[in-house]
Amino acid sequence: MSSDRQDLTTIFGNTSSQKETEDILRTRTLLRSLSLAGPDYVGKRSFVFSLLEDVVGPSDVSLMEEGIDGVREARVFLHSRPKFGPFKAVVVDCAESLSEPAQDAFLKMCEDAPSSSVIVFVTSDHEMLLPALRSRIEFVSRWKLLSEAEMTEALGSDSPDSIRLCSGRPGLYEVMKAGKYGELYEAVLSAPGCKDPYTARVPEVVRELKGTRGPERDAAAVVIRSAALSIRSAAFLRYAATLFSVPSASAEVHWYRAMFSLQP
Amino acid sequence: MPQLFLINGEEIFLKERAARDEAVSSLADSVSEFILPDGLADYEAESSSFPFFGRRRAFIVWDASSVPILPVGEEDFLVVVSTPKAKLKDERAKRVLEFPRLKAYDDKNEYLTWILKEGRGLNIDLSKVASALFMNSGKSLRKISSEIRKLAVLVPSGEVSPEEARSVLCFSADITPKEVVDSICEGNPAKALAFLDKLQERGDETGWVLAYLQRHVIQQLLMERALELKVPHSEAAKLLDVHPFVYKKMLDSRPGLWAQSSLATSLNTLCDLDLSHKRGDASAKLGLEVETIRLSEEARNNVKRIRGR
Repeated sequence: MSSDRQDLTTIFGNTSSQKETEDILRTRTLLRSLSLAGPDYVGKRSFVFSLLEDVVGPSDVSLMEEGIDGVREARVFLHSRPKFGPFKAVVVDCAESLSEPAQDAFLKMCEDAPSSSVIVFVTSDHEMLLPALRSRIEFVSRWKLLSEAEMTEALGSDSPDSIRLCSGRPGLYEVMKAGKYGELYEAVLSAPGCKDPYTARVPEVVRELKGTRGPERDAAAVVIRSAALSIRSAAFLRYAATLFSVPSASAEVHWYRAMFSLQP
Repeated sequence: MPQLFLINGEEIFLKERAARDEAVSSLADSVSEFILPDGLADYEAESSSFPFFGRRRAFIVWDASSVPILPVGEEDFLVVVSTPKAKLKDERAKRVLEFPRLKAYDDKNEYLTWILKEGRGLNIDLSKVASALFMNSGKSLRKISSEIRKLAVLVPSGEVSPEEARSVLCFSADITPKEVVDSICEGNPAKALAFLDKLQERGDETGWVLAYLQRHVIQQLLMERALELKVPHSEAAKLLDVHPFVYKKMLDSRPGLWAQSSLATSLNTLCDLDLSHKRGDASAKLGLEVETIRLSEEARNNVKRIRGR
């Protein structure tokens, strides 16, 4: 079980969602499960993990590992007595990608878990959870993308381009600053007018993407999606969706596919 | 004065055989082998001491990037086998043997020449089965040599017929998706599917073949476009991310095999198949077969058209 500790004061935006989640967890009475739902990279997981560490202490909170072993570990963890805090908590990140059996296991856990336990689901799409599991979740905190003004206020105006490219996702700011995502954005914008997409070089960011899900791949997908929306390109929207949803798909091959699709 | 023999080149099997042949022909009382760099200290320790029992010693030193010190015995014998990339030279060498990598071009296949020569050495004529031997065992000379020795036992002398060869040969070539792609380019769907089946025998290789085929289609599209725009070869090779020599070879046989629109459609299909395969959809395998046939048949029709001009 890994830790994801971050200073609570450094997480900004979604103030009302943060406040209601904090109120609920600090004044918890009989609540056993809640969900933080909203887009990726807005700080949901970091916030709730740090808050729980603050409320119950690091030894009574755990981030669930992937796979069926993670579900088993979570079950064992929740059924042991809290060491220092008033309750034990498990944070289930990317809950929308849990398999059906894993969701069923959590459904059972929500029903049987001891009163001194809380399960927190962090998800980018609450509706993707099984209806039965959704019905057992007692509270849903909705998070949303940040406005450019909120981002600038918190991050300063050093790198306005990076802030714009983040599209309201502060978690991608550092990645955007480090990579050539501006070049990628321009490449997508100029793709339909490109005289010869066959000889146009693949942007460096795309060439360097590896076949695993990670902030760099997600940042590229966010940038491509945002550029594709502004030029209304279905080919590049599909490309962004591929980068998001199929981590092992080759970014370079699918870039070529999008470029060639633009040809009459 | 001890005798020095140097063996250079990339064909490991031939180098090994030559080194052992030299050691045997030296009629030495003992043969010691050392693999460098780890065995250098042992070699130096042993070769710098005078022979104790036998008078003549032979030393084989493998993977040398330079010539080590000569042994001290007057009648000693040193065979130095270089690493594949190193090229050893020494004025004291009695003989320097070179074994460069054999070429397997369509118009000049050195493997076939080598197979025929091996057969002659064993008093058998392999002219009717040389191609089959190469297809079955690939570029591994060790495997080909082992097959030839089997044939020599079966047919002690004279010509080996395909029937005789078929009864003893085993299929051991390392098949990669390259063979599938080459068969598609030849316009031979049956051969492409046979290679595809062979590949799938050792497990699901759909993802590997799809990735290779996607890369091929993209290269083909870029090549066709570069030709249309009269892009200089060196620049086009860079664009395709291949060596200029490889690009030149591509230009010999591949332009015009597919229409650009067909290649774009193919890329779309292959990408869809790739995504469904990665999402665990078993029908991607079938889709790959269909696309293999479609591309092969189009190449076959276009080859006929190109030759008919």
